[in-house]
Amino acid sequence: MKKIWQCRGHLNNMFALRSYKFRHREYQRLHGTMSNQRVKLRVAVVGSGPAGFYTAYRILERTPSGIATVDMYEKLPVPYGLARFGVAPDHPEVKNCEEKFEEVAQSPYFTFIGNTMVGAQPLAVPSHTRSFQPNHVPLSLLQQHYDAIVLSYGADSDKDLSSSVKGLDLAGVYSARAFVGWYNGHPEFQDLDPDVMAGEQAVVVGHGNVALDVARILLTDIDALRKTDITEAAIAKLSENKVKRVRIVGRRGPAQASFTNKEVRELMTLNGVGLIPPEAEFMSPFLENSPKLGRPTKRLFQLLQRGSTTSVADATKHFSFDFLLSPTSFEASEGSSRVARAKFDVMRLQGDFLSKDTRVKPTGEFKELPCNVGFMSVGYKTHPLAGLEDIYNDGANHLNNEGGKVCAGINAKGLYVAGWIKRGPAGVIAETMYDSFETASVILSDFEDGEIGGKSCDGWDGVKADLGDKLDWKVVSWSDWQKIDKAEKERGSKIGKEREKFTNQNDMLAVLV
Amino acid sequence: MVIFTTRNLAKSMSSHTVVSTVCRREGLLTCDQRIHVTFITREGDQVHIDAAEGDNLLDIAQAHDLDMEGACGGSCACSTCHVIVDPEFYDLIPEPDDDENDMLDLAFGLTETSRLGCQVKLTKELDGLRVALPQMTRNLQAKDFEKR
Repeated sequence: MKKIWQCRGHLNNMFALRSYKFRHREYQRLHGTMSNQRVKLRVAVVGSGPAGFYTAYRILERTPSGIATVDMYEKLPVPYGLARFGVAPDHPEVKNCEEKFEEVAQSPYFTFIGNTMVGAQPLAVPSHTRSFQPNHVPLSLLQQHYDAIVLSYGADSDKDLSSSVKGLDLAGVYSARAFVGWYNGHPEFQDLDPDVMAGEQAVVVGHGNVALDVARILLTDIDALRKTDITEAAIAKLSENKVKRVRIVGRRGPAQASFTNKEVRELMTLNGVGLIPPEAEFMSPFLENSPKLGRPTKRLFQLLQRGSTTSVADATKHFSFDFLLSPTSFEASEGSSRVARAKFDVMRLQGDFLSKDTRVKPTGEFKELPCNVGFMSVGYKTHPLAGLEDIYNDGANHLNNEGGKVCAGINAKGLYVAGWIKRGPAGVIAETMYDSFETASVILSDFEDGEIGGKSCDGWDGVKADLGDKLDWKVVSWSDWQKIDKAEKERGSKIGKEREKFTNQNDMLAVLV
Repeated sequence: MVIFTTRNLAKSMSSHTVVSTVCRREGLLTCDQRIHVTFITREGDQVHIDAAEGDNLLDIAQAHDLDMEGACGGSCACSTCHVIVDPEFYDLIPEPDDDENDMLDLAFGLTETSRLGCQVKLTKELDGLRVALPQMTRNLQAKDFEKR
């Protein structure tokens, strides 16, 4: 087998032109028309979020045109995963990554297979709502028809604290993940109906960026959101939002928080919103330790010290960061089934105030906070697809792998992982990008070594043939998605918005009829 | 602002220097307008580029097919265009604002002279600027497998 892809530098010089179409024409000019027999590496990517797309991008970019193909499976009719459903509506520039994904999708060697879920629904994950019914293709079928499979399907549920926190099923207590999915139009969460009119006191449990997103959406002037791609249903609900006081509560101290300074700064600069400063006991250790502070921690401290641009006195809404509180229960008032307060164990840091790894221990004291609406934002949970249980690491919250390659377990050959299912559900798009590049590198190096590839696999054609009559659903192609995309933008522009998302599967598919 | 380039196909693969040809923007740039920038790649190659005043480092790098991603399209919303500026030139660039500093907080391998490429615009004072592309992630080590 001619290992021409080893001379990457040479090829980069000859073929390093940014547009795939241009490269394809160039390659054709030099080598004649593409034939199917050129394809030596058929890759299936499961999940169309940033991890899947960045892996696809790197594989196609670093192989000679036509040697590799990528078929991308996505359970929803629409692509982009958390780039579409996780990134906040007031962070549109973060979604610019989709331009790169569109470029990848234009490649003649890329096929989008939407509305098609790989693997059966794990039992541990709640069943889907009436807004979305998945269509299943078994993973084993993919393994028969592809040289390599990249699992990049992310995290599909919340970390479950129901064994240690009571009252999570009370009316008015929600998963932050579900709330974000709801306002971003994810079909699985449209039935959430969060009651933000119940009262003024909101408690958000968690010190990551998702918790700050939730706080910001609760506190932001609704007019600032009207022109974004937040759903109309969310605008309607949030317009009646009565929340005036948000407590962002974390189990550890300020130096252990996972949120980042950009998101803290956004909260501090919200119009008419005031920060109730953290207690002195949380601020003085920063001062005492200032020479040792790492850059982000130092800047966080400065942000907390400076406070919000609107003073506490002038503000109509307020928020605070509360530290060293671990939730024990949400409780209702006598005779009610709605949440009225949240109870916490007061914790103590066991060690260095500044270290990210410092653990906490209960002091034996308790604290109660008023709570008319509560949000749990304590992290996501991944699950193995059916058949992959033996390579799943529950403690680490991802599938076992080495640099993206699944090494142990039944049928590990040809299996790779990228994104949150590879390293755990944390990290922004930039981290996922580098992570995906690493996975792509490993795949290409295995291909170079002859460990994978060259089996004359038939990919999606083979899968379709095997499914036969069982393939009774509408498979959404990339050009189908483009029609849905166009329709969403048109609906949006009629009401002065960037787009108005379809929020259920049937509406998405109706565009294609 | 679009920079059109014609690439000189490297005649020798063993050469450590890839020389790019003249930048053109609606006709030839005059000597006065050319600002010389050198990118040092992750492999240690030096790429010499002539660019125009006002061009930012991300656009320049991508126009010359250097391995720099700009996930957010250059809008200061990620850290993928992170570059390390030669200390000699760092103070000649206007200081980063809060938004850029917030993104730099997240950059892998952050240094005292790190900047986001999309926020560094060329000026005459920066003629001769040298920047290095940082490592993307730490290299995997054996101990990473033991932890799990």
